[in-house]
Amino acid sequence: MAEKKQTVILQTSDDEQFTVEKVVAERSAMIKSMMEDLGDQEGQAIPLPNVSSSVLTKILEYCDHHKTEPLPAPDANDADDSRRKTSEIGEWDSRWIQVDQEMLFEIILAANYLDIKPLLDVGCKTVANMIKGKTPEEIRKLFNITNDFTPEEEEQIRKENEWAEE
Amino acid sequence: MSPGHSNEPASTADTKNEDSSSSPSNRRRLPLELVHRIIHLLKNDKPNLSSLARVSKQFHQIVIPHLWKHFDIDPQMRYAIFNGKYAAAATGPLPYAFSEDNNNKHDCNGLSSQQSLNQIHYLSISYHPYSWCTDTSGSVSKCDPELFLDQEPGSSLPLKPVSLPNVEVLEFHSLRYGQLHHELLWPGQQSRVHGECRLLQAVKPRHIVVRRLLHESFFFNDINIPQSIWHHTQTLTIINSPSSLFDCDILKPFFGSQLDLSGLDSIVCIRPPFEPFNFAMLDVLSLCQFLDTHGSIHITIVDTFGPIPRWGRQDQLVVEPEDVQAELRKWLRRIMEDMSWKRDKIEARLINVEFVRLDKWMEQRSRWSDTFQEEELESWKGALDNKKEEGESG
Repeated sequence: MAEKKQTVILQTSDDEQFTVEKVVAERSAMIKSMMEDLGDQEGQAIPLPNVSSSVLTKILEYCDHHKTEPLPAPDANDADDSRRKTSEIGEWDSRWIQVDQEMLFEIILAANYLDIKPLLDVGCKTVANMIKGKTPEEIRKLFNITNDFTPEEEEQIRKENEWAEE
Repeated sequence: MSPGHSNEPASTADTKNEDSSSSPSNRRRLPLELVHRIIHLLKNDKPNLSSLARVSKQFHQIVIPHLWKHFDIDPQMRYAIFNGKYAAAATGPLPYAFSEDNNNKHDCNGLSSQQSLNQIHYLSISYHPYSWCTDTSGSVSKCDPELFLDQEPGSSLPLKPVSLPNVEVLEFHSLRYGQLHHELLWPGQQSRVHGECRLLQAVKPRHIVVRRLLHESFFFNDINIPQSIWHHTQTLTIINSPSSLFDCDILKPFFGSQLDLSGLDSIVCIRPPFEPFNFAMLDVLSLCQFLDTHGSIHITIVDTFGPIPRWGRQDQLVVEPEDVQAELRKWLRRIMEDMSWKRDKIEARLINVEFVRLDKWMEQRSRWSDTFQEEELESWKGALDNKKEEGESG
């Protein structure tokens, strides 16, 4: 059947408009519920004030690749904790997410805002993997965090948790 | 979580950053809920958690519960002793956490050792230096000083009283010869030092787990477990070794009857899928004797229930797991009848014994979520699947 593909218009923070297939857009639980609220108002753009066009382009790539997969149940978020912890990042996803760190964080923030759970998982796992083997100073750089410990406090914490380091 | 919710970490941006490619002003920070989520993914990765704890005060607060929740007093101990490196064996987290040297001096901004100890939910105890369990009054000196000759100076610091208020599960594992204090294992050491384990006095666990991975018996009586422990403990879980199922003194008539187990609701005996099936007649006999004196305790036996001989017909094998369970029940009944129990008593006691197949037990999360970590049962699942495949291909 050559049915016309249903689309939706998304408008990014830098005022670009994207015409996107509904099946792709509804990977985002947030957009999906907005589409439902809008009903049949064709041509009405959904504003995404927290997402830039470069990040949205990247994220739509992900949504397009995964558009045929079943959507996670809305209430499945943390009950399914166990599977999320143990499963690895898929091959396509891990190639797709090879971006610079700034983009990675933007993707995670957008995935959180757009409520795309599997993507948020991929992003968080990627950051978790980046943390592995890093020193506290390297982790501070990664997260852009200032050390607010005095040297004595840091030494105390180091000693107290030394047992965990082997 | 609401999509627009953003909870910026409290610390301010690093102003003296030399790396121009990632100038902090352009880089967004992850909201706290996402930092939680990421750290949660590393919750079993202790070396990385230890680095994360030193990042900032805020990270410390997030990490400490993960890092200390499941606490093993020293996983390195047994190897150190097998290698003959006694001094190395005496090091571990507790001497530092408990030492008076560490008391108050560095307690600033709530970063106290006690704060970490308060996070311990699952305390895993293997054999450890007796000096960890002696108080400032110097009980150590009452023992043979040679006993402590080779210890590192750091491990004999005066220790402050221990408080582990939130321990829910107390696990015993890798006890050599059933002992908690490893000085007792010294060659040539004849007399047994029966010092009470101070760690055990500090806990009020709801669950006790006994893990017998070596070919060992386990005797509560030998390790000076304070009687008070049993006032708080509701369940006892025995993870079985390849040796006989009830090779644990609490289930033996003599020792078992010495203990006041009135607070205990249930005993769960589990044989992991790695162990060969070995359901001896002796086990069933011990179980009956235990039931004789402890009628109100529910006993759950979790197993794969491999083939056993039919009662009175050693040449016939019962093969199907369901049939094996029924056969074991028959064994129990026969032994109880032989012991001339009244019919009512037999029925009442049999109701309290439950056989559960390992795979079914693992599917019922509520049965194990208090005492097991998900990851451990994942590995059991793997072993069970392998066995099934072997069975099918063979």
